[in-house]
Amino acid sequence: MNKFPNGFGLLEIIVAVAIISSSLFALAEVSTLAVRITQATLVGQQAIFLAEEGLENARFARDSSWATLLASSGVEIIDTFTRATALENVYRRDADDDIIPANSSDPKTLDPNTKKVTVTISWEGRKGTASTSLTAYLTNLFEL
Amino acid sequence: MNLIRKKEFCVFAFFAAPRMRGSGFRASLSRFARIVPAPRSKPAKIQNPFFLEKGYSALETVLYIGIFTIITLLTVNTVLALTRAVGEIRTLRHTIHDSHSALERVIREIRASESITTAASIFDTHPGKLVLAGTSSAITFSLLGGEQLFLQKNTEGAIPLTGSSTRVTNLIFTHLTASSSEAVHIRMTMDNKKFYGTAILRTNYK
Repeated sequence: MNKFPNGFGLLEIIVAVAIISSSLFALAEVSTLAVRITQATLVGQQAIFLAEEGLENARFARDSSWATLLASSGVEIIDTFTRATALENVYRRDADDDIIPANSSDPKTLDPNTKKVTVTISWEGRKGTASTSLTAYLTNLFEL
Repeated sequence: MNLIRKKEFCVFAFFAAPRMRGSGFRASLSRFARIVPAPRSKPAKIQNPFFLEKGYSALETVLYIGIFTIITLLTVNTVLALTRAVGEIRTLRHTIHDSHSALERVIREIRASESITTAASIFDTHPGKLVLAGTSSAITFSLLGGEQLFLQKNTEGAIPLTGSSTRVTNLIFTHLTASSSEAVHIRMTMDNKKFYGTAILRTNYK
């Protein structure tokens, strides 16, 4: 016995339209997502270049004078990005002069001629503030 | 069923399917598809009392056309959106690739060079030109009057560092000098996206 004796009913058509619509909507969403991810990749690349430039600027400041490097920390706005350059003291373990964290319990001594430079780039992404950072150690090569 | 009759059947099945009555769609189709053997002198004729006599009600026609229109609009819209998205992604990928390879190449060449030929370079203005001197070769970066970044080694032919589909609309080099070193700051705008870089001449430390 046929359960649907009257051919296509309205319900069947609505279900078919719903399936087709959701498939098309999913396709459109995927394409939008792909564009968004590619745009985020491009912005991330701009940020990486800015971070690399920040480190190079710090190195160039060190080349000018050690005092210039010490004064180079700060925050600057570049287009839609914020670049923060931070300098941290560097401690060395007394036993072997290796660099160790500031909170290490090993006997250590502050190295006044080495700085840890961290450049952080932050920008407003779709899901709040995004950021990327690069770190390098710079030593006072020219004034010792 | 000959070819012409098959076509007629398909057209009817598409437009009249919602209206067909009987024992289900498949049954309706099979019933509709019944062909009355025609006399040799006359062509075959389709027996379909619904199509020929009853037709659709106005409401059904409007509803069916409305649904068909919605599906068509959705399909066209999605196809257009997909085409647009593919084009946009292609452009973005070209920008990502070209900006990365071009800027990295410029930075690497600056780091490896021994000095900057300031007399031949154009600093602080667009379109900029950078001439670097190495131990055995001179390298020039410039736009050559267009919107592509070119690298020229000595007097050899210029090599494009960016593709023809990307546009470098701003290229400014700035010469920086410190007590111990020299550096070049690069500002490049590619496809309305700004890229920055700085490179110290590693072999030029005093």
